[in-house]
Amino acid sequence: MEAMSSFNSLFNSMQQEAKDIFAAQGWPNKRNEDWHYTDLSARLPASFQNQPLELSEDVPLENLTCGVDDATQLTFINGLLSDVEDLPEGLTIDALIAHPELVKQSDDDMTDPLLYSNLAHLETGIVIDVTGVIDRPLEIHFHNTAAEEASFVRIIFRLAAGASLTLLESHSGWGHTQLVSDIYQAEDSMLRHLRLHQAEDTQVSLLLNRVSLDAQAHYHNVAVSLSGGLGRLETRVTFNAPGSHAGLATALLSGGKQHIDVTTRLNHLSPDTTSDTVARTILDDEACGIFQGKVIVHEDAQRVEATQKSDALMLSTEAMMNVKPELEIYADDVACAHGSAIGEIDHEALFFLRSRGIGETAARVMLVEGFIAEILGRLDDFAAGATLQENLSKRVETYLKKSA
Amino acid sequence: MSALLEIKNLHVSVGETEILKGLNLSISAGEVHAIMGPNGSGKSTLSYVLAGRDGYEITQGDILLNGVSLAEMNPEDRAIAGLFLAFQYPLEIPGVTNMTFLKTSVNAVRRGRGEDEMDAASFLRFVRDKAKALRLDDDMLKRPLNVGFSGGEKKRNEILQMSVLEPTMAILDETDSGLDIDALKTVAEGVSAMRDAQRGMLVITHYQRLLDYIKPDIVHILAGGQIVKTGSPELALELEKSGYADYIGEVVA
Repeated sequence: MEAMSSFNSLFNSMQQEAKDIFAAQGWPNKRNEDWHYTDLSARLPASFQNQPLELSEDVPLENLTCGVDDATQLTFINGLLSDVEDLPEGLTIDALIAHPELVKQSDDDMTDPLLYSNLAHLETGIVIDVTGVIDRPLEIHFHNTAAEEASFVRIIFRLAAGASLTLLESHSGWGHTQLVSDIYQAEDSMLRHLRLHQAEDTQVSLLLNRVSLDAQAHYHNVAVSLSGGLGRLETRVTFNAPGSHAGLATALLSGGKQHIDVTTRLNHLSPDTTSDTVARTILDDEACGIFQGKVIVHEDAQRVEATQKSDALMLSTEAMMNVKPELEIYADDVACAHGSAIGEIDHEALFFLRSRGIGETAARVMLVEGFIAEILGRLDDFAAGATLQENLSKRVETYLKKSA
Repeated sequence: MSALLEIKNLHVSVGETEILKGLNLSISAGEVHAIMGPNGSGKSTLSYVLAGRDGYEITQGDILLNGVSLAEMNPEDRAIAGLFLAFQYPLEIPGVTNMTFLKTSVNAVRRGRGEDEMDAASFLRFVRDKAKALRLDDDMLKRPLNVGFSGGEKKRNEILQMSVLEPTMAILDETDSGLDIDALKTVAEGVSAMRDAQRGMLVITHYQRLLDYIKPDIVHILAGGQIVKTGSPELALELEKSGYADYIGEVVA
């Protein structure tokens, strides 16, 4: 009990520090290089009414989750963990408050706006331990029921040596969602992580994903975003030991006045590590897309292979795409490449499809789906990969037909 | 009996430039016509304007398929009406498998014609039989449309599309270009297998070679945006010997 209360006071003092920083610094503005294209100070309220809304009835979530029947389901409604199913063997969940060392480790940089703002408002923190090879996917769904709801969650994942999991993370609803996921992967562990962002057009999602990889650990991320208002999907990976690998694949479909920012930072500390990043962005109406991809290869990190590619398809002349690829390489024996392309629908291809009897709208949908097919194709290796691909293809098609 | 395809005094401009200058052509069901012509004579313009590509403006004249004007029809409705263009340069479409494309196309055309769509299993059988005849293996049905296909594979894939769509009027635009002799024979066999009394074909080509394998009933020479000569298949052989020089000046004169 004594340990717990001393932890509580530690947590309280850390949270108080975060609150003080948030009160002083607030949201980052465009003078902060990492936030140049996404000026949060201009877009977000300076403070939040941070009382989770009472729920009067069940929230229907069909068609908002990833739709895998045998997934273990965890549901956060308005920032609170509302539902925990029976967990499979090898998977345990604990309250973050029982792990003081993890909070300290997690909040290692209080100058980071995504960290201090999250801790200052934190409602729920959990620790998920994965100790075996888990066959059933774990889905964690986040849903806010109202525009005035702001939810702040921290999840720490620890994958033991040799553990593996398919994690489905999905977001829907209104309001403001801020999630920090810290993922620690021990050697030979494998995490396949789908992030599905399918929110209302006023919704704000600030999602930070920090991954730390030991020897031979593999992290595969597929992120699919279908609408939402303001989104920042940020992933940072640290490669601590040889043989670790990360694959980050993102497909974004945006329209209206949506502003969506994909930021990646791959920190190759160790030699013999590999990464590949690919982002496909489709922008319609007055949407604004951002891809900031940074690869850092440290001095001793020889034989690193890192590729990074960003392609954007512009469906409207009012849409805007900003791309900032950065390579910082301090080792000499590495193979790193980056490339980016921005283009429109191929009119020749459109004519070709139409000449085969396919109507203009269907032909456009087909070309756009083709543009992101490679991203969805990466779900092949996920648990329930075929179901996921089918479900996501349908959602993409519905989204495109609605906006066509 | 009225013609299947009737092109009447067709004038077509691309931008400010008039390319077709009063072209007349009439093809009846069951006939195979060939149009030969030098570079720049308007062969590709003719094939594109028939299929309804943007940017080709009909300034005068008309195109009738079974008596119905195509001039204001969009490309997909022309396909539904029974027109098919085999492209000179088939497009590569990443991320869309050949099979998905074929099924979407066939079902769109069937819907447009008021027929029932085909279910996945019967379509698979249907397309596999057709593919086999063109020596296209299953793997090529699973790959993204034309991506990484050789020149010959792309052309055979065009003929596969033609054979699953079963058009009443097929236009083959320089189908021989980029083919070696074996591929040419396979393609020609596929085309010849589709000749029947209900179907018309228009083979557009620069060289006589293709016509050794797809024997036309009638040969036309296109020069300067008009048909300048019409004759029997021997006309193609004559051209092979003497070239187009005799015809290039004809319209200008």
